[in-house]
Amino acid sequence: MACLDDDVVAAYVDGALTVGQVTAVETHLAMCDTCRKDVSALAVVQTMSAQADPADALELIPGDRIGRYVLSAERARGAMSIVAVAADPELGRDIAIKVLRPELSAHLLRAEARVMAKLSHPNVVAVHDVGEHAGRVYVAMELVDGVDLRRWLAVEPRSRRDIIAVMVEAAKGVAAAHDKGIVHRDIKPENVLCGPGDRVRVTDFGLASYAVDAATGVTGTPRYLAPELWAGQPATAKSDQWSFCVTLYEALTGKPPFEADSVAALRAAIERGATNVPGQILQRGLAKDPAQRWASMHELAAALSASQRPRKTWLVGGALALLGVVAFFAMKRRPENPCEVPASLIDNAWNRSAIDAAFAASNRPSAADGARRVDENLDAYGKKWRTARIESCRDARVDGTAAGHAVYEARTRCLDRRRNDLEALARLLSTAPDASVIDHAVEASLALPSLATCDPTAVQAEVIQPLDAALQPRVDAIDRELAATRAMVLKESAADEAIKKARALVADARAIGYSPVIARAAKLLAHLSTEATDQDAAEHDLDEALVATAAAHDDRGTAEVWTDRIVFLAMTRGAPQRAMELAVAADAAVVRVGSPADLLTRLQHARGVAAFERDDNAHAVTYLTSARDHETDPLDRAAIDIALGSVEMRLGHLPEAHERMTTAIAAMEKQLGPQHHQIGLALMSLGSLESDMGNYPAARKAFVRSIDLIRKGLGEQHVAYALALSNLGMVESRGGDAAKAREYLTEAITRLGALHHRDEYMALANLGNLERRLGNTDAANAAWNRALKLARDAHDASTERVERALYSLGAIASDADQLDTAMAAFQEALPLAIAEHGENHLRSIEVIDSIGLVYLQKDQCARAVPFMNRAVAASVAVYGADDPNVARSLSTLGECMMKSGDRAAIAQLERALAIYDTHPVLPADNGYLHWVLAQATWKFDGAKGHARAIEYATKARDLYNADPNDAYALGMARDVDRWLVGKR
Amino acid sequence: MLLAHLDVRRDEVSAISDLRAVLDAQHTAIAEALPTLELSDELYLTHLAHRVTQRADEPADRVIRTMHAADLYLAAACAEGEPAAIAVFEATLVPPLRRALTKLSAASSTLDESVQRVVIMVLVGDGKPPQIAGYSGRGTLTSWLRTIAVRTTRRMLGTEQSQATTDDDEIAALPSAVRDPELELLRVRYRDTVRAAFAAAFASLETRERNVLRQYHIDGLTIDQLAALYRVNRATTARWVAGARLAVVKATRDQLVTAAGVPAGEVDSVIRLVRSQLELSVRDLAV
Repeated sequence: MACLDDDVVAAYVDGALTVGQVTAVETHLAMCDTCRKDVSALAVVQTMSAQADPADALELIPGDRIGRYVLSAERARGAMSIVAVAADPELGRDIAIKVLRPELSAHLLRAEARVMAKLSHPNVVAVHDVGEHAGRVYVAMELVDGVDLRRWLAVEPRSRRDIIAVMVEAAKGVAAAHDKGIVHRDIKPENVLCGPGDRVRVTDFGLASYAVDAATGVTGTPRYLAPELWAGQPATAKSDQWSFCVTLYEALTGKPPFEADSVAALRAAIERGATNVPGQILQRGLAKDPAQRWASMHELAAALSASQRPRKTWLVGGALALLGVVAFFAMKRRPENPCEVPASLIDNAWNRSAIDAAFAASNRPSAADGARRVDENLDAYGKKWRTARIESCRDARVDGTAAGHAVYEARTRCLDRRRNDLEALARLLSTAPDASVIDHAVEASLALPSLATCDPTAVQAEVIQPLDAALQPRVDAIDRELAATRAMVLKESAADEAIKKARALVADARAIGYSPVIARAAKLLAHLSTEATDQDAAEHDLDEALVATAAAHDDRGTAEVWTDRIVFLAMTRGAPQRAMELAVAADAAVVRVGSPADLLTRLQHARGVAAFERDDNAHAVTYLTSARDHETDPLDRAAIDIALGSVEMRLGHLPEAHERMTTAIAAMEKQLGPQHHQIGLALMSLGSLESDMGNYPAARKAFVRSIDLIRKGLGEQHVAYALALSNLGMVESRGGDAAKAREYLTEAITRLGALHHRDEYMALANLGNLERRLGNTDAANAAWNRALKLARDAHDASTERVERALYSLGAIASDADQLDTAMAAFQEALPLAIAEHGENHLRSIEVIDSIGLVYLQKDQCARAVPFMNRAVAASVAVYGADDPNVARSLSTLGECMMKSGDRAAIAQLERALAIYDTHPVLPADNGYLHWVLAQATWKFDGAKGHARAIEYATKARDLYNADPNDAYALGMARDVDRWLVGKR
Repeated sequence: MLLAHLDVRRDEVSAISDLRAVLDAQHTAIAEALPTLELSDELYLTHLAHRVTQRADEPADRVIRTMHAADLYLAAACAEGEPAAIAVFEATLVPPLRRALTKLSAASSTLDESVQRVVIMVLVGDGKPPQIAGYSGRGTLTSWLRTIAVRTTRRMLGTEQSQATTDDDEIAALPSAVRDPELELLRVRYRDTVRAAFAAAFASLETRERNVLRQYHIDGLTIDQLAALYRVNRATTARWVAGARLAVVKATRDQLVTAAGVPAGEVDSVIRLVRSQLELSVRDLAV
């Protein structure tokens, strides 16, 4: 093939050819490397002269490689950099890639970024890698799916509490970087990323560092720059702190502390310093002299965090109870693999348009969405079925032996049964969909029996015992009936009927005497039974099923029943102890059939929940993580995540728990639609977490939505409804409507009591706390005494629950001035608390503190002092020496020492004063300290101390008067006043 | 007048109603562009008539109207060996040519030699008739000359040979960027399958898509250069590249699933591999 003529090439490059000629040329180019390269070379030569600014020329095209990363989409193009999303083929994850402008000094930048890559902190966007591409430096970073602080503030009004919570996390991130010697240099709202969940991350460490702004002659964003940087000094951790505080100021007040029309004016404003800065934290952080600022970001973070630490009250975590319910609905899974077999074979089993029409006719609000999801799920099941069918025949062909053929036959029959299941469900969905059927349809479509039930090892029973051809029609009939029965439970009104039917089918199967079909029937009966109300009958049916599967040599069936049994015990029966004991046997059964993923994950999930219920967090994490790792179904993974999140919550990893739960709920919504009761169950855990984090409005919102979904999806008789009531009552009792709270909790107690549910304790505890807050001593006592009895009598007695009940009873008695009763209860609680948590734990501190206070009230200060000293020591161990909690304990210690005539009291009180001076503190706490100081100074310092004592007392009175809603503090203010009158 | 020089296409040319005006305008343009030459209408019309005859696949009207008249005149005069024309040629066309070629080679000796060779080929002929006679006036003389120079230089540098496809399986021989052992296994297992699927997928692209992908990946043209070459906005070429890439990956996937029967569970990993090594795969495809 002759190459193109020079003249033609020139005309092509010049664009002087006709359309037909162009096509001819390009066709030639597609076949002729030489000519194409000639043209390419010409294109290079031609555009060389017309080269634009190379800095703007970088085009990031999806599919391009930067380093080892493959770009997928450009996200943002800024003055300094381009940000894109890319895939990391090596690690199979998506990352964010930031390509910087060439003028950012590559060498220095890379040195810094390399240090960053070594920094791993939950509040810092991780830097994975740094490299060069087309002469530019790029930074590969963790891909964060959140919004920056500015947007986060803009999308909805945020409470001060929420803002501070975010900034505390951000401060921790900056502090961690400072620890490694990394200075951020450009802290501003744009570099604080919020979400997903409550996760907060600081990004772009050091990236702005070397971009000197032409207008200002300095680096960074002018509005956030510390005064010393304007003077040309290098950036430090202290200048970062300034920028952080400007950001905090802006986030809290809605406007920046320094504003001006020009850079020069801005500089002048910053150098003048800020006026009217609210609060000591910001005042210190925005001190002009870096030496006057907080010593480190750690200190700032601690102060900020302490500023919103709530008064210690015991929050009853409802989530503890809820896992079982969530996991109760654990689904079944199935593996996969493709090939070819007529699709009609499975597609004929169901009729999409019939389902759509039946749903549409139902007028249920979620019907259209539900029908779509159901169609998708059935379609997916059909595809997997087809795959399994093909694989089965391939295996047989490869094997070629008679035994192989027997396995193939058994598998095919098994798959026929799965087709029956699909058909039965579809028939139910398209002919008689009442409200309950429609509401549960999506779930049911996901819960069709796993196709792993037809794996070669799973069908051994039938291979060993081939069926007499004469019996085939009768067995087939039973199998079809079994499928119809399995589908039937979907109809709420037919659940009992389904069990009856299954029981009859077991009898029919026994009449035929073919053990594999007996095992199948018994297995279904047991499975249905575990979801019914009669739990004793369920245990019996499980036993029977185990015998039947064993008799049939149906190992897979045995493993299934064992798994059902553990799930039942752990999640439905609320018998974690037995679940854990029997799990060993279940494990053996599952291992025996080769640990199929569908059974293994269900079992591990159930064991994790059981461990959690038994407060064995370490094992809970192990089992749940293992289940999660092997789980392929997004819905089940979400259920496991809710459980894992609850463990994290209990371990105090609240932001992680929050992120995990919200992500899991989003996944559930994607799978099930927003109206499903499973989401209601998950929301109970989330709500409990929110309430643990002090976000009561969010908690309330979650619980309200949750109870609504549960009522609609499961009905009021369901245990989940009772738990939801309990949770709603709990959150209402906190700043909500007390009367409603009482109503909810009382109803929850009745319902849970009738079910003998162990979380009747939780509802009682919440009611007891509510009544105590309302001052109803008798009602509070009654609730807590009942709770104490439950905790003691429980099959799996919980030390923690007994201890909490005793502590609460002590506190109620102490409120009512029944000091001896109180002391007895606290003394009984103390060894339990220490046994459970050790001395250095906030629960133990609470009890020790309380004992000290009761002695104080009884005027037995000599006895009180050792307890107060223990409380101080433990507080120092738990919170650190410089913490308001320590100061609170020191205040009471000081009072005791003063009362027992020990002048060293003043030293302790001054220690407390020093802590309060540098931390935000509740006025009432500070008032108490000043009040004790006043009395101590008056007592020990004689006449020369009188003036100071009066000064302290005056301050104490003002502090006590600060909150007009705090009746106790106002009463104290009057006491102080009276004292002052007497002294003047 | 022009008709007098034509043996063929006379009817077509005589049908151009404003022929006179067009030729007058061209005359003026030539006079302005080449003030130092003594113009001969005869020379121009002879050559114009020759181009009309030569470019038989285009309408005569288009040939005449789009004619780069001054360029054609200069070429014609050079072909006639007119010293003044050759002087203009050497003064105005050769220096920019040398500058343009620096993109192809850094060595100035190579460039000097190349330019010298081109000038001889074009103006003198070196045994054959001088190539300048072959200039059709479709594109500019500058482009035409540059085309010859670029091709000559490339042949001189022997750039072609180095581009010959090696027998090595580049995908397999690649010190893989992907160190995942599972992928490594897939890479080995499906090497030939992927290559065949990729070739089939690539062949299913439109001609221009194939060219653009090769020019982008093999020839190293930037998006701007592609945009200039195809006379479209850079956003358009960017879209072309991305679209073609997407299309080839998608087609490869289809090929792997339908024709090669790669299991669904593995095909995504294989595709991940293809995507990460797309550049190499395109390069691997000899034309």
